[in-house]
Amino acid sequence: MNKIKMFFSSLLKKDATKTVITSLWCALIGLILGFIILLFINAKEAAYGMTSVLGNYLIFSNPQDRLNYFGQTLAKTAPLIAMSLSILVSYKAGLFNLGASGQYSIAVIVISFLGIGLNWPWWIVMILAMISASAFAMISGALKAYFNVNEVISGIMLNWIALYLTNGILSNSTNVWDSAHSETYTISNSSNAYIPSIGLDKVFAGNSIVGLGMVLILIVVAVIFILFKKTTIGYELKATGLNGDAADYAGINKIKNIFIATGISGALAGLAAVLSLQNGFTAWRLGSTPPDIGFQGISSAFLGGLHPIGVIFSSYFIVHITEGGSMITDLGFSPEVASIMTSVIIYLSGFVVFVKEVMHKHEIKNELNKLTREKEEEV
Amino acid sequence: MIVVLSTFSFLLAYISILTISAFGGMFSEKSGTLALSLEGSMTFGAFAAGVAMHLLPATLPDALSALIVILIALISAGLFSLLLALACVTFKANQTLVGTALNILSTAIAVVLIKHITRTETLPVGNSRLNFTRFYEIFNVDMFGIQGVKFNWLILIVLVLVPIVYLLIYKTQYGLRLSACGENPSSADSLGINVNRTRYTGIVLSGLFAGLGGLLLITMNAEWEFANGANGFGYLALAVLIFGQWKPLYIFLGAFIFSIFKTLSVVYPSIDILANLGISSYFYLALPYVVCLVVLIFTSKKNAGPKTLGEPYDKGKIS
Amino acid sequence: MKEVYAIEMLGITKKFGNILANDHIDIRLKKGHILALCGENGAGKSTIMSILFGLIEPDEGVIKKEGKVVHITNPNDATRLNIGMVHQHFKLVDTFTVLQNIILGDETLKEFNDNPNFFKKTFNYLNKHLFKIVDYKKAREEVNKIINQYDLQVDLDQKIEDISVETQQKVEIIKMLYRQNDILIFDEPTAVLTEQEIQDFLQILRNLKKEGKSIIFISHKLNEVFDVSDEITVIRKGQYIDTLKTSETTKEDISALMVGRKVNGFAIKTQIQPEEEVLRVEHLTMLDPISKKKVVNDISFNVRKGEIVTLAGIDGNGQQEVIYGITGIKKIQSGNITLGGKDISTLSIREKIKSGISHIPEDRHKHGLVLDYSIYENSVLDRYYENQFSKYLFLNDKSIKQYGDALIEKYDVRSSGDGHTIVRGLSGGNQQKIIIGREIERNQDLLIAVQPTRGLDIGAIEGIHNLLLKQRENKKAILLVSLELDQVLALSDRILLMYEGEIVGEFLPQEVSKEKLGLYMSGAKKDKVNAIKENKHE
Repeated sequence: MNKIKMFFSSLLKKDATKTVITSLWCALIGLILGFIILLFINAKEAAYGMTSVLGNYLIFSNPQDRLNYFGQTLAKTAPLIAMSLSILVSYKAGLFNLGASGQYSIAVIVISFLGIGLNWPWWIVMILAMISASAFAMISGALKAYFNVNEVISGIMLNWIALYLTNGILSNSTNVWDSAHSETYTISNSSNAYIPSIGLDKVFAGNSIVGLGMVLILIVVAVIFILFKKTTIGYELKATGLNGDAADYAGINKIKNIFIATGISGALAGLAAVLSLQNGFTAWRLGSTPPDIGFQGISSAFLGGLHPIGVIFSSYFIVHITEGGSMITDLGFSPEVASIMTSVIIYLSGFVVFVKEVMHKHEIKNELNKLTREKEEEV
Repeated sequence: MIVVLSTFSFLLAYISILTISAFGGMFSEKSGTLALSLEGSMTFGAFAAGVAMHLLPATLPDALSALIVILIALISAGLFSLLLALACVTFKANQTLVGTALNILSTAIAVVLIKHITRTETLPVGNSRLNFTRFYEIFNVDMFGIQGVKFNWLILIVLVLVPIVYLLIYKTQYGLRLSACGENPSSADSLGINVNRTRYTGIVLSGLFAGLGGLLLITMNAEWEFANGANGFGYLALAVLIFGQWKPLYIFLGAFIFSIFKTLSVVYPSIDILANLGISSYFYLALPYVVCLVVLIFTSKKNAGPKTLGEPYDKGKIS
Repeated sequence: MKEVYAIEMLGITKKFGNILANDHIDIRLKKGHILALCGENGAGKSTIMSILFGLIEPDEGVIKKEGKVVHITNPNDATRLNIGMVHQHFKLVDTFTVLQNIILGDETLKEFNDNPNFFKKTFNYLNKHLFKIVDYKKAREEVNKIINQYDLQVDLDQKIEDISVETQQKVEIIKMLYRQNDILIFDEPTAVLTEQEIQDFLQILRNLKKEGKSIIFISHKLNEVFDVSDEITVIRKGQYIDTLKTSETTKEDISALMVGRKVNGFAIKTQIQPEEEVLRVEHLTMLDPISKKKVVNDISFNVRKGEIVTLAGIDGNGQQEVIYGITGIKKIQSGNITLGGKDISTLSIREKIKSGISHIPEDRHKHGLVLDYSIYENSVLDRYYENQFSKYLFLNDKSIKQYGDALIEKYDVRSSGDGHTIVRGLSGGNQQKIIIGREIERNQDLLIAVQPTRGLDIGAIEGIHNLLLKQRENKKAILLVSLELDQVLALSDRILLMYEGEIVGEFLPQEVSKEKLGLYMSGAKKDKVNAIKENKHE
């Protein structure tokens, strides 16, 4: 019995290792392609450019600067983790939340009005932003549950509706709109709506954008982890995602689960907005496309192997190279090199599912072979 | 009068862009592959054409230059769509995931390379905006000889393509086989039709059409900001495709309706009645998407789309 | 004198992994004959025919057509050799018309050859190599010729989704004739047909034979095999057994060859007096959600403790819908369903499960299991929310594991690891054991089992029969849906025969013959019955 247990735990480890290894491969190929593009643009500086992208804050010689930018990278990772979790929760329940950008935008409206306009306390703003994003996500859910509308398509439509809604509302509200810069005012660290630093700023060389948000996101990761690992809600969501028909036969309420999944997913997308805007490093700019972060969330969710802990690392990695990318402009490179790398990584993670499936089939075949061999021996 | 004519010219251009791009999406989706990366293909075609327009020497004759630019737009977007085919048909990847990746990738590539091209001594990193006034003049002629009202003759190509696409879908062997691959690939397979190859052709055709759409989109203007990709026209084309129920004539109709809103959002300040209504341009911009959602509500129960849309074909499954 | 064979398949061997699906199988089809290929489920019939049609490549063996060796690596090769096949699941595009389906893959193209006009000549050239415009008019004429020749009346402009299964089969046959196939393969063609339709179909086969076609006909229904075939080839568990002339053998001999031993009865049933009623269904009517046709039409029956009541009949006569109605998977139109005296007609699936229904669904992969869940997780699929397994939304992993281990032990579920093993990797029999164990262990008054032995080997089937009979002894009420008459006769206490949504007959197994059941199944005989049996002492 003990032996079987040990064998199994090693197998589990193997599966986890497999995920990590395939993700690392994706990341590596993405980086190499990025490097090739750098070479193409400026062969002389490419190596240094790549070092900057990979090094990010490490290229600073002053330890204080390093610490400061490290803190900045961490703080910017938090919203992406929230976004990845948003994608992850819906994906596990068999839905693809392509509407995360739209949900983010709706939260931005709430944060702008309550946080910037009315200067309400950060946590009230946070809760209301999450609730409204969640409600917006449930539109997709309702359309799916009652009218069988594909959530990917409705998500895309709602992204654009939310984009124009947000642009329209915010740009016409003088108390939140900084028309000189075509963006909302940023929430300053003296504002009530600013997420408190709880002393973490001192650890990171006075960088005040590091703060309670970091702790919050880790708690959320833990909650999502437990949700899927230990609770009946997670059990039901996963069952619905893996085999909706069987879940139906077992009496699991599919419609309820669609609402739960889209609701949680939307709340997390809203949290991403909270952690970006209420940390003061972003404002809503008048853009003509839905915010990128919704799509970045897809990259890091898949790169993180669709695992709550995994997305911490994948989100950090993506923010790390994106931040690094913004430092290479002096060398004549544009920062979007980082988004080439990340998009190549998501593209490749599409293949990962295939590769893992092949490995899985191979394992089953081996198992079957073993079983038939045993049977033959019995005879 | 000018207002009416220029409204008309915008309308015509938008109809053409949406029709041609949605046709592209139709080829891909009829064969069974989600056309989420339409935006990416349009952007990529536009980007390659934009670079060509930037680099082609002014000494080259106009007609030849235009031809080269058109070919580059088509070929580059066609090649780009091969990435979709490779991942989704050959490697059976998740089509939503890959489509999203390609949309980000094409904008990122466009921005990085255009910033590289446009940099100068004083500006080490250029900007992602390209100016191609010369080609704007080549592609656009004054409509009815009135100055200020432009007509992009690429529109003519689109208008010629409408009946051709209709015939291709409904009257030819290819059209029949293409739909069979999306509706019931295992039937098609049992009749000796190569499902994966047919899907490849559908996807590449979608790239070619989207490339033309992208070129038309940017040459409506004398310059283009590539950081915005195709400005969401790819997604709007996807909405048109669904609105049009994957049928060429309905798509054309859908493109017409959606273009009205798009045109209104551009021209409403110059039309007094509309300007006085005080409705924000964002309202007109959002309206097509709302309309599309409503259409989806009424059509999704019946599931009018190709039956196996979004599912890779697995030959190994014998039922 | 050497016999001319239309097709010879010699020494065909195919392995899937380590499983020998075909082990040196020989098939010889004489020209203008009908060869029946017989064998049980999983004997390898479909595999060998898929090899002939080029869907699967064999590991060993040769195929000869009229004495010449041929290579068939894909359906195109088969078509070129004029081999056609009607698959068990039809290969038709639902949204296409009949005509489009017939010509798909072998379209008749427009030609303008006779015209000396230069433009038309050029156009013709381009059309042939580039446009490939389909000539529907000419195709229609060709197809109509076939329809008249073989008397296969169909409306060419209807969509497949709008026509009956019988007509769809005709379309499949026309498809082969349109391609001028002269070797026709039919894979279990009568499985979906009613008795009358089967007679019509056999007549079509005779017509085809008269026109010189050579036919391979896969079936395990011996009546029709003896009715129409010239030779019979029997295979068993991937092995070639024998080929016999139909006129020189008997049904008993063939069925003995098919199973490899004399067919004897199933497990012995003990006498049990049924006790109080558990399930009562009164005037149940259900509609097809799209066509609004009555798929279940005003039926009444009950199931009592200690009896097995079977809904028998040909697939698709409403048995499945009755179960959907009882378990709440589909909405009922009218009628009452009571369980243990409580009205459960309109409860949700979950509430119905809770009120005392165990359900073994027909399709274990689609409906019975979450294949990517472990054995443990699947063992509580419809009871994880019970206090025993969870509290305040938190799963109790320890008790789930304990329970799962007990289930594995008791029902002998075999896997390569322990209960954490994902069930996708288990064999069909072991997967079914998990479902049956899970449902029996819930210890409910009513057990519903829909085709519980589908696709399993004989050993596994016997085990499942014994489990069901044991539940009967334990005084459970059991509602069984089965398509196999042997199973129906062996297990049931009462047989309810369904035809087109109605119960057309109620029988006791000891008092009815298969032949009589067959008459009712085909709709040749019907009596409208109310199958509610009251206990006298109540």
